[in-house]
Amino acid sequence: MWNNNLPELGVGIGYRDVYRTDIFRNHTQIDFLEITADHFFEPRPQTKELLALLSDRFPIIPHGLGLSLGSADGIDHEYLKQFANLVLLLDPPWWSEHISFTRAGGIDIGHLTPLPKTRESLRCLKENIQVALEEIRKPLILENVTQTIRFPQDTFDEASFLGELVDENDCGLLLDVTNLYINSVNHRFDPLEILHRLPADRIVQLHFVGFHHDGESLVDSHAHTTNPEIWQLLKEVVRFASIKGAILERDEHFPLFGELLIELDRMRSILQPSEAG
Amino acid sequence: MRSEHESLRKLQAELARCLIGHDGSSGDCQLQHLDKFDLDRSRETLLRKRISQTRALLPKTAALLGTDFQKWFREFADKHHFNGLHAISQDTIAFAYWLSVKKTDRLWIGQLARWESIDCHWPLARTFIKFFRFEPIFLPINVWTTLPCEKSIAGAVFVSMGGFERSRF
Repeated sequence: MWNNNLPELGVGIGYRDVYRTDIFRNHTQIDFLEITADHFFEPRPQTKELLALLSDRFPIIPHGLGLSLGSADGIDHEYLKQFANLVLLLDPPWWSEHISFTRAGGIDIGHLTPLPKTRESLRCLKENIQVALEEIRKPLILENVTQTIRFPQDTFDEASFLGELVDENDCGLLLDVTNLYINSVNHRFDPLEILHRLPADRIVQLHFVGFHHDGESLVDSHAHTTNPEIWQLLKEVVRFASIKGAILERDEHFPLFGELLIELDRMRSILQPSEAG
Repeated sequence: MRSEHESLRKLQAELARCLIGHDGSSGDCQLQHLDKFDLDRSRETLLRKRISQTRALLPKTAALLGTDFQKWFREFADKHHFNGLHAISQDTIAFAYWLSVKKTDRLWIGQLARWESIDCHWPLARTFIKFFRFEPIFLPINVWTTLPCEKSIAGAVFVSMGGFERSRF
C-alpha cells in the first residue's frame, strides 16, 4: 500500500488568521493544521513566531497555491525554492499542490485554472513534478480542482486522468470531496463510479467544505457549511480508502469557531467511529 | 509531441489573458472551441475573488460604501489592466486612486481608500510620500463622512522600519 508509511493525522482545519486565537484556545479539538504555503514564504518576524507557535502545538501540512505544476511554461524555480525552505523548516509527513496551472504566457493569474485531460497535460505535469521532487524530498499529494472549463480535446475522464497522474509520478491524492461532487453535478457523472476507479491506496488526505448553487451550477466558494450530499460522499470515501487526514476549508463568510468544531467532530466520527465522543 | 506541447502552451496563455480580462483574441484563437459560458463564469469567479481580496484590504471603505463597493469595483475593473491575484496590492492601490478621482458627492471615500491602501505599498517601496485632502491620521471612522475635503491638504511620509512596520513623519 502506497500510503502505509504515512502517519494518521486525524481531522483539522485550514489555518486562517481570523481564527488564530480560536485555534490555540481549542487546540485539543484540532488534530492538525494545513497552512497555505505561499503565505509563509520569506516570513516577517511576526509570521516566523506564529509558525513556530503553531508547529509547537500541531502537525502542519504546507499546501501550495502557486507552484503551477500544470504549466506548459515549466515551474517557477524561485517559488519552488521558497516552498522547499518551508518544507525543510516544518518537516511535514507530506506536502500538497493542485492539479492545475496558475501561470502562463508571462501572466501570473493567481487562480487555479483546470487543465485539459490529455496525454500532453500529463507529460507537462510529470516534467514539473520531477523538478519539484528533486528539490522537495517528501511525499507529494495532488489535489483535484473544480473543472470550471470543459475542454473538447479531453481524452481521459476524471478517474483515469488522476489514476495515471499519481501512478506515473509516484504521488498521492489529496481528494477534495467537495470538488469531486461539484464536478459530478456540473458535468453529469456519478461521483461514486469515479471514486471507485481511483487508486484507493493513493488517497492520503481529504478536503471538505460546503458549496452553493448560483442558479446555473454548483460553486466551490469555501463559504458554506458542509452540505448533506458532501457528508454522504465523505462516508463513502472513508469506506473506500484508508484516509490519513481530513481538512475542513473555509475562506469566506467565517462563522463562529464553534460551528467549525461541530463539523470537525462530525468528520472525526466518520473517520474514527470508535474514538469519536 | 513538440507541436502538442506548443498547442497546450498557447491554449494556457490565451486562457490566462482571457481570465484576467485582456483581449486575447486572434485569428486562430483556441478559446473559440471552448464554451463561452465556462469562460464567462471563470472570469466572473476571478473578478469575485478580486473584489473579495480588495474588500479585505480596504475594510472601512467597503463598510462605508456598502453595495456600491462591488458596483464601483466592477466599473473600475472594466477599464483597469489587471495582472492577476498576485498583483492584488497594485490592484488595490489603483482602485483607491480611481475612487479618489471619481466624480462623486462622497469625496472623502477616495481619501479613505488611499489611506487604507497604504499597507499595500510596502512590498513595492520602502519609502513613499502621500498627500491627502486633510489630516487623515487617528480620525474615527464616522468623522470621515463629514470632513470638508477641499479645504486643506496634508502630506505624510511613510518609511518601512524593517518588516512591514511603518513610521509616519
